[in-house]
Amino acid sequence: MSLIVKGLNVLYGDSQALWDVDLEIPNGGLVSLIGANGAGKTTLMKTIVGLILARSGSVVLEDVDVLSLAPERRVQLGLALVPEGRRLFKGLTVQENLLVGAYARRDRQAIQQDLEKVVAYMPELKSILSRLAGDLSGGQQQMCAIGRALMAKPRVLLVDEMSLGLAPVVVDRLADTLQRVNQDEGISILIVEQDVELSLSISQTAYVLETGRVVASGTSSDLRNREDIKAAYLGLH
Amino acid sequence: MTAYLKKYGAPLAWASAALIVLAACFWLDNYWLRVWTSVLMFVAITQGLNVIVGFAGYHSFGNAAFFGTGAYSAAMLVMAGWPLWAALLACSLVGALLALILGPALLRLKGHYFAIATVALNSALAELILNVGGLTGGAQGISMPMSTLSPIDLYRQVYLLMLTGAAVATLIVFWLSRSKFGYAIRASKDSEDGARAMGINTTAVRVAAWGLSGAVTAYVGGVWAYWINFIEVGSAFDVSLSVKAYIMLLMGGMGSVVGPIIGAVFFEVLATLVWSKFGALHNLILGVLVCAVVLFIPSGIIIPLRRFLSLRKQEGAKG
Repeated sequence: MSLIVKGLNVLYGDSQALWDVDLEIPNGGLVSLIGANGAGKTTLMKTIVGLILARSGSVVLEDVDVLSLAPERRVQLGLALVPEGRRLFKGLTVQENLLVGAYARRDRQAIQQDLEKVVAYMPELKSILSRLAGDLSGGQQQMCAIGRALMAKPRVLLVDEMSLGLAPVVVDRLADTLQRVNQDEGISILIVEQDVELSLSISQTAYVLETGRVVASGTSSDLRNREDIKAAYLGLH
Repeated sequence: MTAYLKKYGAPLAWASAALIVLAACFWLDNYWLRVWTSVLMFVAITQGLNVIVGFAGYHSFGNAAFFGTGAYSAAMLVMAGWPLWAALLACSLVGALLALILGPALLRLKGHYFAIATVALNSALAELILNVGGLTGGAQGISMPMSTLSPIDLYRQVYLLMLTGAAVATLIVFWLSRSKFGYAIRASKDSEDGARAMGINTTAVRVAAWGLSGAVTAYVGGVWAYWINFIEVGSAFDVSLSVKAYIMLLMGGMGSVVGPIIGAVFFEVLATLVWSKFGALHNLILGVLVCAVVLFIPSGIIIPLRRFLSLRKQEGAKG
């Protein structure tokens, strides 16, 4: 499924967090969102799934404008978010967390199958299914969070701060998983990742957000070669 | 044999416990029958509280509002000529409705604010019933007609009605501990944003949880009204009832199925014994005990108990 954001404006009280943001995730695409802290990346993701209300604009999933819908309706239509800081349900086991991911679904029979599928993508989860999510390491938690979002059977997956605070080897593992999910399942993905080099290397297109505005966009390889992007985000001169 | 025990052990234990409790009303004397009736009442109230506090994480200190509402609606319906069973059913529905109507507004509040709002709700309802007069009897309360049953039969009937409440409340909690809806409630407690992003309507889920809590609490309120025959605002909307149930929940262990039962039995039986032996010091002793529990086993009796049982199991496996 494709997701098209047009002219999105979001305000926190009097201060505007997003200004006329336009963004497109093509069907089956992997898009990265780049920007400094406070640029509005998390706000944009939360607004797309409905955790924050927008002032104006549109968020069109395939051909439905979801901006006026409740979050649970958007999940049913195929949107899922891996939130920043993972937001796992700490008092529930990993398996229960995964099952909650399937909460909005109506096809009960397929849920067990999808659970196995998620475990097949991330075999590390298999041995910790009955552990409490609060007792996991950071990498395990992030896998659980990604698995939980996949259990919603999304057509468009938003991943906020994929690797915050994780070891490089785990980060590569997660990036690889997302790429496989993107290719094998055809799930469109929008990813926020602090390692811009990695983020641009796995995505086809990218958007750069600065103080709430999209200041640059294009194919990831073009952006990688732009001097201003290199200087600001890649630490190269 | 052990595999058989593993599979059927827990249901068998539950079934035999239920049978013993059911049969108990035929050999207990009047005094202990009353004590255990009160224990069962508190099991139901504590399980009701467990739903909203232990599972949903909303600390209601005003669940007595449901108790009082249940007591008054049952009493008024019986006075209007309804049969007891219908009045009890209706009063449970009134309790649920009260929670469903007020929940969307009150459950927006978090933490202390919600706790205080529930206490305010309790006081407001008490004032309302006091001042409406007429059907509610106002300050004079309601005297219900005496039952035609002999005292022991009446006590047995009330015991069984309370047992029904306690059993249904426990079944609800058991269902929550392993159903999709239960996961949704606990997920909303652990992470509001995470739950909403997963497609859970957190407000609706919480309101429904409070509705269940309200229904079981109102039911035992109704049975209580029938039991003591005379109700008035002070005793029906008694905040100390909520506090007592909260202590029992704390003692037993929040969010577990067995915890509230242990807490209610332990505290109520203990309170009765302490009261009969040390009348004057009764509150002091209970207070010290509550402090001790909160200090040394803040997660409730259930946790050390579980550890003890699992240790014994391991030793048994070795031997």
